[in-house]
Amino acid sequence: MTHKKLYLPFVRLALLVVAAVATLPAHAALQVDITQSSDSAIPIAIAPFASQGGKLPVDIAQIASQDLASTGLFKTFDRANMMGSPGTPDEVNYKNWQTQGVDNLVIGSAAPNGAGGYRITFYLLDAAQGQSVASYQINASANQLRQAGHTVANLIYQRFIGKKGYFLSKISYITVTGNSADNRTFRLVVSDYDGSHPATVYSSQDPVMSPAWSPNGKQLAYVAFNVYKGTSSVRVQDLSTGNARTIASGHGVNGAPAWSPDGSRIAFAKSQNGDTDVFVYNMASGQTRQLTHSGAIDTEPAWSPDGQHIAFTSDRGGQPQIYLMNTQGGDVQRLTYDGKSNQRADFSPDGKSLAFVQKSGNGFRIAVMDLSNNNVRVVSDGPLDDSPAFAPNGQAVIYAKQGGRNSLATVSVDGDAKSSLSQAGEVREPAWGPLGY
Amino acid sequence: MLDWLERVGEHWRAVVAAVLVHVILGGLLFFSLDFWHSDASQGNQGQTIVDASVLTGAAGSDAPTPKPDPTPKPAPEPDQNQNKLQPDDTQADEDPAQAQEQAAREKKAAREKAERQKAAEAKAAQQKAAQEKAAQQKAAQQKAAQQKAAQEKAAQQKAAQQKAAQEKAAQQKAAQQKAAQEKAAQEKAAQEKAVQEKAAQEKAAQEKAAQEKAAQEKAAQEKAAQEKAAQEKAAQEKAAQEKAAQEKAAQEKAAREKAAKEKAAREKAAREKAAQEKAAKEKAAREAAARADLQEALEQESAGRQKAADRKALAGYVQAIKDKVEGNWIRPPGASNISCQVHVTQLPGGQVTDVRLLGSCGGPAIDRSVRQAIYKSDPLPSPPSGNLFQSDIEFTFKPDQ
Repeated sequence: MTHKKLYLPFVRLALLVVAAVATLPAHAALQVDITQSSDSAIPIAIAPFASQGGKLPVDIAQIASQDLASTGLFKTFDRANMMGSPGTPDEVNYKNWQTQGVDNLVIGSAAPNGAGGYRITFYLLDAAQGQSVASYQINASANQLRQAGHTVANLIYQRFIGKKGYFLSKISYITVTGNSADNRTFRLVVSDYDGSHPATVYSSQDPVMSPAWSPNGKQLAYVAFNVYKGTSSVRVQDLSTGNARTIASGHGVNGAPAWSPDGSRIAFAKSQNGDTDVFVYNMASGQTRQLTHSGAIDTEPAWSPDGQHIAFTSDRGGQPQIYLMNTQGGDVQRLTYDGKSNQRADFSPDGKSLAFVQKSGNGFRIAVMDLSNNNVRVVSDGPLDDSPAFAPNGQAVIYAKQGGRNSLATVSVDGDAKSSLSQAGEVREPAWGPLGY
Repeated sequence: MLDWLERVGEHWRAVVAAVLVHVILGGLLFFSLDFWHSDASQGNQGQTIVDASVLTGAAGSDAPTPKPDPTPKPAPEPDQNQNKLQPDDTQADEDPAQAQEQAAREKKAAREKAERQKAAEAKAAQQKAAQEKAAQQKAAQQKAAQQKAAQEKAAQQKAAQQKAAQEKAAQQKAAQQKAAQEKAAQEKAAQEKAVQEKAAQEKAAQEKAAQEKAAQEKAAQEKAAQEKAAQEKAAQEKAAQEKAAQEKAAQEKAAREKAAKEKAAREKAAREKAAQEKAAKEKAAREAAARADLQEALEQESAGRQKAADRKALAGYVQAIKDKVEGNWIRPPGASNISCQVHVTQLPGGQVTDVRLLGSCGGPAIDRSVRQAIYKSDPLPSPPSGNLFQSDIEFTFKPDQ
């Protein structure tokens, strides 16, 4: 009791002092509200990495620079205009970089790590502040230097964008070569995220469609046709062994596979007596269950990342639109109302957005819907865009541009930054795999 | 009555039917009697009468058909019917020629059907081909339409860009005009202020001059009065000495009297002088007070003007800082719900000496972008006048509100 009474005046005094100190600077300071920002890309220069003990077999800085530039979010500085390539922060003349408009500078070096590989050290420098703001170290074997370059880009990307970079992820897509029906070849291809280093996983004279990555990136589900028999089948192929397993087949439609987030089930579309519905296949039990029972076409299922819902395309309302149901096929609700039709939904990895193909008066474009308020933003230019798939970090959408020149393109989710992935021949139906690290 | 008539009207078909039935019944009664008469000619009269009466009872439901029932004769009729049906069946079974013919017919029909199906299939194939062709044409048309749409869109975009460029140019022009106007307004305000200040100074100078003149005049008057008094005194003293020399005793008395008079006069003069001085002092004090009031009023007015000008200048200063930092801030793409306060200290030249985030803006990447925006804005814009400078600036980043 007495102790408390003794303390009280001191406590009050302390509170007064704190209050006085807290309020004083607020009155003295000038108040400035910042409500706008510049729309420009982030300027960054990645100087060639210095190498101790001979030239590096792979230009790490160049790979990282290309990665960042491909997002459209960074404005990379041309190497030809760089004044020197410092290896350590001490060697940097910040004024020189400032005058060239380089706000951010990456410098680095590689040295043998004694185990046959390299130890790569690099720094992120803020030219405006004139100091190093971060430093990193990566160990890479001699044949992993390309991946090391992607890792450098991933680290810088995360530093600036606040999300993990996708430069180590893979994409899958279908290519079609040959002009006539007799010599056409369909290939299921897996490549780096930017289309480089393609490898054929499966090829056929008959159409191959709809690749879908398993959540762990080790398997691909896809659809193979047999035109002679008039059948189609949904297959699941292991990428390391090449072993394939057929989970659904028969006359008519067996297509549009979509993995559950835990990889235990695959939803797909199947036609029976001319009526297409959504089914789900259990990978462990091998059993198939029908989810939709409408007389309309129900197809193109997409699993929500929380595993609780499946979005699908249905023409039950007259035109193809996107609907949502629970994984038992119940609680069906319509999601899209804009445009003439909407189809081929894909959930963003955080489950907050839905990308799909929207048909409007001027063609087919990719649209992204914010599921919290159902606002729809068209992000591609059309006129024949198809097959949107979110990047594994949710910051970009890859899609197929069809029509005159078929190619794959990516666009940032706000629609501001677009880039094209060059591919020979006709390219269709891209699917984006997991982050890869 | 009316209800009854209405009901009859509603059910007129039933009424007509009932009337007709009765008429038919009556007719039948009448003619059947004749008929029975003809039957009776074969010798069965008594029965016919009994049966006839029964017939009327059953006639309500089925008038013509019960006719054969009452007689024993009509009994074979159904048999005959059955016999009639049976031969129909047996005829088909028994006649092999007919069966063969039918088989041939069926075969022909099957052939025809097959031909028809084939024709239908061919037709269907043709239709399908036509449909496919139509679909291809449609697709080609759609493609052409889409390309056209794309071209149109490109044209629209170009037009929109041109329009945007024009608008931007117009906005810039408007902004320049506005800036020019504001500058002109500021200059005008400055000129007016200068004129007012000059007027105030002139007025003060005039008042000062008037005061000085008054003081000089007063001093001159006092001096003149003193000189005059001195002269008079000298004359009086001289006269007094002469008179003293002439009339010593009487003169001394007169001198004493005169001295007394003079003393009284001097005292009077001193009193008057003191009164005058006092009045002058009071007047001066009053004038001084009036001047002070005026000065105060002038100063207040001037301070008010200064304060308004300062406010305007301060707003311009804050806007300049805001513009520079916003132009240098590249917010991380896709970042939302950004909100934070940043405390910055600067030197009088605008050089940033410290950047302190009061809590995170929403993530490390956003914090980095905010910090860089401020360092990139170093040096911050200078205030239009030194008294507006403050070394502490508190930025509030809230782009999503």
